[in-house]
Amino acid sequence: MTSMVPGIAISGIKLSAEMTQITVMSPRDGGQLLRLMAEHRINVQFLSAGLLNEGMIGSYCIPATEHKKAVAIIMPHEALNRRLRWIHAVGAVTVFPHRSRLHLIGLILQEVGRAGLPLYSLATSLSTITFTTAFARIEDVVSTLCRHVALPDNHAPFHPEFRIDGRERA
Amino acid sequence: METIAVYWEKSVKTYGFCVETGLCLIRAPLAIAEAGDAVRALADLSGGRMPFKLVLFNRCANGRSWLHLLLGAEWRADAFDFFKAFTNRNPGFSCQVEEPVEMLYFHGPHFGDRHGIAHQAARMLRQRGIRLLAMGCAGSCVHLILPKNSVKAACEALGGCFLVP
Repeated sequence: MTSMVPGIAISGIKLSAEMTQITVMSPRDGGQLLRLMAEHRINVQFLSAGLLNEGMIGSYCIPATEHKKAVAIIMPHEALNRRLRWIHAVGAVTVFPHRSRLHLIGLILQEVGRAGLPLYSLATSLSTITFTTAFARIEDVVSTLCRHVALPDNHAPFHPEFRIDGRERA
Repeated sequence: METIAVYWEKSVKTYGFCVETGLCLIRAPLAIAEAGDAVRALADLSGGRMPFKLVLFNRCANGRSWLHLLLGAEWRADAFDFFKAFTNRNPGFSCQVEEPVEMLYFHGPHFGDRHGIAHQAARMLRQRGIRLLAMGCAGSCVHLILPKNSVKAACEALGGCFLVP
């Protein structure tokens, strides 16, 4: 009976399939990575990046099923590869809707941080807050969040019920 | 069960470009829980009335984390005072504020499931010499944060590869 728990009202939580996160520290590397992924038809499913006074910080997530292909593509670009940080087995948690509430963002960062669970990156969209964590800890993250948010009884399943595989016709 | 659908378009279709100007971008180096404390305190300060435009959070390879918080210009003074006080309480903390900045955002059919969209957007801006201050792609949305007076040129640049209704 999740709706009995007092907390910030949301409509649902969605979990992604397993992904690989690539962390980038310069705009040039970010541009090169996006180009390589696009040229080889690898979907960057999640992206969160911002300039800093010195360089930038960016998180780029691709499907885990494309991990080996991405490694093979990037490996020959030795200088780029040396500067990238790969995080394997990452999952995305999407909380919706945010209704532009700062409290909800603060709550997610606070509670995930206090629980000692990893939070690698976060980005908001028009109505959702998506953040990445360790895929193996994704259920712990959901349990933590569910102690502080109020979900309707009839909320949709957390796990995806179908998957879209994008392929281009020859 | 597998369903095969064919989707084809000459240029990437969008539901239109949306633009906001006169925004304030705050960059703060904060660990996860610290960022949570700061964001909640900021929300409390405004009685929960301060809406965000965009939030990005990233952890660097060196373990440091950065919060990017985009607010409307009307909240600039409150946010600036808050982070100044936060800096005074936390020696060594240094917050960066950039304003005014502009935001261009758009979404389109199955953007989250298709490759190359973020690359197209970033490439078109780079070709026009437009600096990208921050970028977020989550779900089917692309958010681009740009320096002042550049959103018009950015719309023109993106119009070269994205279809706008």
